[in-house]
Amino acid sequence: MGNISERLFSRVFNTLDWRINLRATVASVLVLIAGGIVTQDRLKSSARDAAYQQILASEQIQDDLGVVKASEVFFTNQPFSGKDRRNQQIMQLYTESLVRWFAQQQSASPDSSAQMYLTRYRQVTNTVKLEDN
Amino acid sequence: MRIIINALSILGLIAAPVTIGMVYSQTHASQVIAVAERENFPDKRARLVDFRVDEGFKRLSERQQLDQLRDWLLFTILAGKGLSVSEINQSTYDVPVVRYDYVSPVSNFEYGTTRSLYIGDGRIVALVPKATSKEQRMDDLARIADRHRKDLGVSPEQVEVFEYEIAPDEKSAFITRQSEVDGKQLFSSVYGYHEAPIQSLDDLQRFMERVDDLTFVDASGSSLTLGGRKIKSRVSGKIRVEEVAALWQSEKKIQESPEAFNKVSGSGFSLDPSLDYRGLEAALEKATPLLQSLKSKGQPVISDRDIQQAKQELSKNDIRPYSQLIEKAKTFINSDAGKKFFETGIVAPYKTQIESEIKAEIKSYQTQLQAEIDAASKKSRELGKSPEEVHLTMEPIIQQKQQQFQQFKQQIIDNKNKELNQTVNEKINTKIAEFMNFWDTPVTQGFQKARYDGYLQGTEVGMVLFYTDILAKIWALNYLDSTPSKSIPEFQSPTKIQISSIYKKEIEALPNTRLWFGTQNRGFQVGNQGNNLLFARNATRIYAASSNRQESEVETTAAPNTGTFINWWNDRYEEVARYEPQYERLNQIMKWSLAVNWLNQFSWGDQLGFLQGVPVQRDYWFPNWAKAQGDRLKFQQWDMVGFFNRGYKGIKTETMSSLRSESYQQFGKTGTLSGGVSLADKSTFQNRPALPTTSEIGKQSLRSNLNYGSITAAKGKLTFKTLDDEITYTLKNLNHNLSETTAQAKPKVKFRSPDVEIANQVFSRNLLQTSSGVQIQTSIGGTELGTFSVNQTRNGFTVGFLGRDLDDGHSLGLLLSRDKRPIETVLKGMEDVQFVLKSDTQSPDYIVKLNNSKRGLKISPMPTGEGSQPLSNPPEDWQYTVGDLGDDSRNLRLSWIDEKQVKQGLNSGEYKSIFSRPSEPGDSNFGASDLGDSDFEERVQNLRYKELAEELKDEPMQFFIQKTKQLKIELKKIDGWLKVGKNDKAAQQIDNLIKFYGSEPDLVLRKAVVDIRRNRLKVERISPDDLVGNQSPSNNYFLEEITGLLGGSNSNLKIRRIETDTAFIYVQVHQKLNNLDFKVSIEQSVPSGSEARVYKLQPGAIGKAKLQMSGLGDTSASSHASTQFQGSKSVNALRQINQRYAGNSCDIHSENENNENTKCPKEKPVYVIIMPDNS
Repeated sequence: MGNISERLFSRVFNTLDWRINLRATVASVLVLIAGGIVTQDRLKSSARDAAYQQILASEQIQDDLGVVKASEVFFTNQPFSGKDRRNQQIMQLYTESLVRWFAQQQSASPDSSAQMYLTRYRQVTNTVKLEDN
Repeated sequence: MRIIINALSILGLIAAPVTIGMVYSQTHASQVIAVAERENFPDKRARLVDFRVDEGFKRLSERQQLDQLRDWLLFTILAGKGLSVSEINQSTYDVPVVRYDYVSPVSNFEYGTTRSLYIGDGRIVALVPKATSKEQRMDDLARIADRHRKDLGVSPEQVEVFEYEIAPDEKSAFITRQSEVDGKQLFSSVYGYHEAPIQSLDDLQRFMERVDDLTFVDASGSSLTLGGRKIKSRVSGKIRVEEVAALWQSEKKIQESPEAFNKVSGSGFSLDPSLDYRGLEAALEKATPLLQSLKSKGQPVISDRDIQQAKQELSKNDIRPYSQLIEKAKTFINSDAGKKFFETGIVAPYKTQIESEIKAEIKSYQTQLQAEIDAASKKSRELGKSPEEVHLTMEPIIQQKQQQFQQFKQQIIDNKNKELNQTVNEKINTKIAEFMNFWDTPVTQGFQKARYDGYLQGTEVGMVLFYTDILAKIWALNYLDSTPSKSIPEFQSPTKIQISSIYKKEIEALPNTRLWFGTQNRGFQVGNQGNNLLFARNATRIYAASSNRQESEVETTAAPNTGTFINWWNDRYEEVARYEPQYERLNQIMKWSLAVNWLNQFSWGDQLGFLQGVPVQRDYWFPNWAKAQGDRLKFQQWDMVGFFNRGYKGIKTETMSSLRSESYQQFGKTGTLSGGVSLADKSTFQNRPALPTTSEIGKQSLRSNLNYGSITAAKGKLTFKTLDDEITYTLKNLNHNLSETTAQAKPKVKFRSPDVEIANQVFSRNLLQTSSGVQIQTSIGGTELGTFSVNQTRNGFTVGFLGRDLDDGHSLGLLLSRDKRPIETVLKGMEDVQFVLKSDTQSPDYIVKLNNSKRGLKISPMPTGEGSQPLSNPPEDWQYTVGDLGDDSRNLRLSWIDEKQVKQGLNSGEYKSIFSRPSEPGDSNFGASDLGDSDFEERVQNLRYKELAEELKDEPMQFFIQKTKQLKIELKKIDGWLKVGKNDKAAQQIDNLIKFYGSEPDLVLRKAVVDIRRNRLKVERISPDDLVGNQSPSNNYFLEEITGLLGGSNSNLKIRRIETDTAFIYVQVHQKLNNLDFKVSIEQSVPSGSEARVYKLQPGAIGKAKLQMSGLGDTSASSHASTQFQGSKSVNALRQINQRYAGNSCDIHSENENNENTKCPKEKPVYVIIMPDNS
């Protein structure tokens, strides 16, 4: 089977003008890239939507750690454009919950998991684009 | 094939970048607002609002408190609807969160039982009371619709109706969302609205019969269109076509021949005070010897020249020198020299006479006794007794006579002194009465005459204006005790209004007051590019101005007592008018006068030209008209008013004697009251810009009293002014969840309450939105007044205002003002006071540091009566003056200074420490350890999460140290408040801290203490079980033991929280309780015989609604980082359970369902384990 299609492919392409060949190759690559981007964006979008719902649910029951974790997921799955109208709202909830969660800690200094949440928060604040609603 | 590949390639080359571009450019939208609103206010399900009130709330009157709670309910709805801070700010920029009288100048409060706001997109939020009739509800909504149509220029599209019910104890309320009402329906006959083109008298006749209240005049079409309302729930005072015709004809006459009407600009009425100058001349003639008798150090106090000048000016009908002469005499008699005058002039001559009488009588009696002794001695000698025997016989007789003499002497002195006092008092009283009669002559020789501006004399309109004017004066004077304080609670005449002595000098200096009715700028608006005129229900208000006619005719802001009276009336004009419907008629007359003048202004007046031919009765005479009205008028004691006969002193209008107020003691002098009714005139619309079609200002901010020409927008800041440039508002969005508003009044505006005056400074407020709700922080002149917050809870909201520096200073000032003990003694006895500094000066100032502030309060005592604002040179640091109500309170000037200034005062030696409450044993450094990090505290207090997060990112260790230290400080503050019973303040602070620290067990347990004290939580003692089944004592025992721990040796009560599969357990951190095993039942966990106390806390109820144990036994407690889960499986933790139920409304409880939703998880019971203080 493989041989037949290869032969057909080379016959078709060999008979074509090299410009058409080039055009077709570039177009194929672009279509593949576009497809990849669309697929990835859809996957990220769905992960973001799930995280968004989780944030709202956690926020409703005042589960600050839940909000922090879900916010990390939300911001890790940024769209291709980097733009999401919910960014500002989630950043506000993320910031509030992170501050509150740290305020709730009973230890004298931040432990390793707290340090990890803080590092991620620093990364998110440095990378995420916020735009006005 | 080639063509296909080529085409596909081209298509791919185009489609791929387009697809990438589309993916790149797409953004995701959210429906957060809709979600928030649906969850917070589900249809027909009551949400509980739990109020948190502070000291300031308790200073409000009963009615103010209810009005305050209604405002807070409206804010709760706005916050719960999930509106953005910018939207809330635009809608509420002129609605301060506290109803202190002194914020009135920068506010636009609603009064009565309803509240409403325009929130954009044609939508109105309407808050209406639950228990009303169908008709009343319709009238309420119609009134709200008319008001917003007037502000917006167009009818609202939808009205969102929220019903409220405030609990009788005013500690909670329920809000229930009801069905929305369509705007079109509100402007239909269903809601009593009627609109019709008016082309003839018949049209107008029909229109007037169908409506009670004029709301709309439109001149954009070929004919005039009028709109109005029928009030459905009651009979309202209305006017007829004849009254409209009288107004129209009067204005027409003024326009045609202004000279014939003294060039007045519009119709009106006035009851002018007049004087019988010939009577005054006679009175002065009679009093001349009396005035000449006034002497100081032998010199006449009133010179002949003064008297001559007064006589001369009286002949020219000028009373001023006469009044000055009276003032001069009054001032002298009230002075020390005056007292001396009475002493030397009246007392001294009588004293000399009495003394000589005493001497003469004593001498006569002495002679008589001597004669009796001599006679007895002679008789003894005649009996042949020896000199020794005579001496022996006479000795007791002489002693007896001497005794008699002494008794007689004392008796005669007493009697004569009594006689002297009586005579002197009589003489003084007679003299004073003579003076008082003379002083009263401006009143006794005064009378009032009616003045009709325009062509209104003898008309029904004229009679209504006369009646409403005279009744206002009758009520202001409380004449014949007629002010309707019982029918209209808290409506009091200035004679009854309690006012602080800080205003004494001002009230004395401004005895003359003018009261008059006029148009209400907030009640009408020109819309549709000048083509229509829109009205709210009320377009009338009462004005007042005061003056001192002896010195100047210039009028100023009304004296504080009169100001309070008219402000109260204006705020509740509709309520007063419901009591006396003639004021409703006055309002309709005012509206029609506005309509006629507006039409005339644009030469459209002829559209009502058919009114020219309407016959108007013009022969009414007020005394007869008033009597004929009978019980249609609230005031009926006309025989006591003293009207003069027609033609009195040749005057053609009604005349009457001056009314006298009831006697009252409030630094009062005899004053005058004048005024009338000024209907709309030519000037009303001259400088009034019409509602613009487009403007930088959002629709939510539109108000009919704005000067639309003043709106500017620059650098994200919106600035605009009210009419007459009285107040300048500035709105700015600092970021997407923080908005700022400032309000600056003109310098002449005074910020006053009966017991405090605040310096005229910028009012500012920051509106912050957090995930838990909305917070509004208010400051005046940079000093915090307080923080209002709305927080979402599981079944509703907690709402309240926590007073800060300015408010705390006010409360402290009032305490010091009413306490007669020395200031420092009072301060030392106050739990809130951390330290006191005293200045080393003759009249000392004090600097006080209160526990709840990081600044110092400077307190300067001041002489009584010198507190009000018009000081010639108020000190720079003057912030406010406080004095308790009444004449004998202490007046204090207060200002807040920062820590640096406190230290400066101390270091320079200007102030010395006189008291310091050590914050820790052995620490006497002015509580420095309690100051905490002020920046961190401020960020926590104001929930500046962004800044806190920055600090956390940069210096996490420092953040940890500060948050721990701050919590410790705050817990001590709260414990102090709980100890002295300041439960509301403690609850407010706990709520605020929970926003930052979450449901921290130490905070939550202290909140439980407040809830138990407020009967929101019930307590059952489990171990020892000697109290089981006896709930009330359990509460008391628990409170006693907890309070003992808060204030006892273990003042840092520390609590940890454990969650098991079936319960939450709050355990005191104590060596005997640290190793308990909670995997078994609670009874088994605590060994019998241990000293530990185990209590079970259970939610109370308000009405049918079971209260939630918010933070105590709910998911937030389970989710808190400090909670130790000691159950068998982590899925049994409440936070895990509730996550599974998220989104199915388990968090929404309603009073109707009694919170029993069987599909939702049950709450876990809460236990508290503590060791008594002595263990």
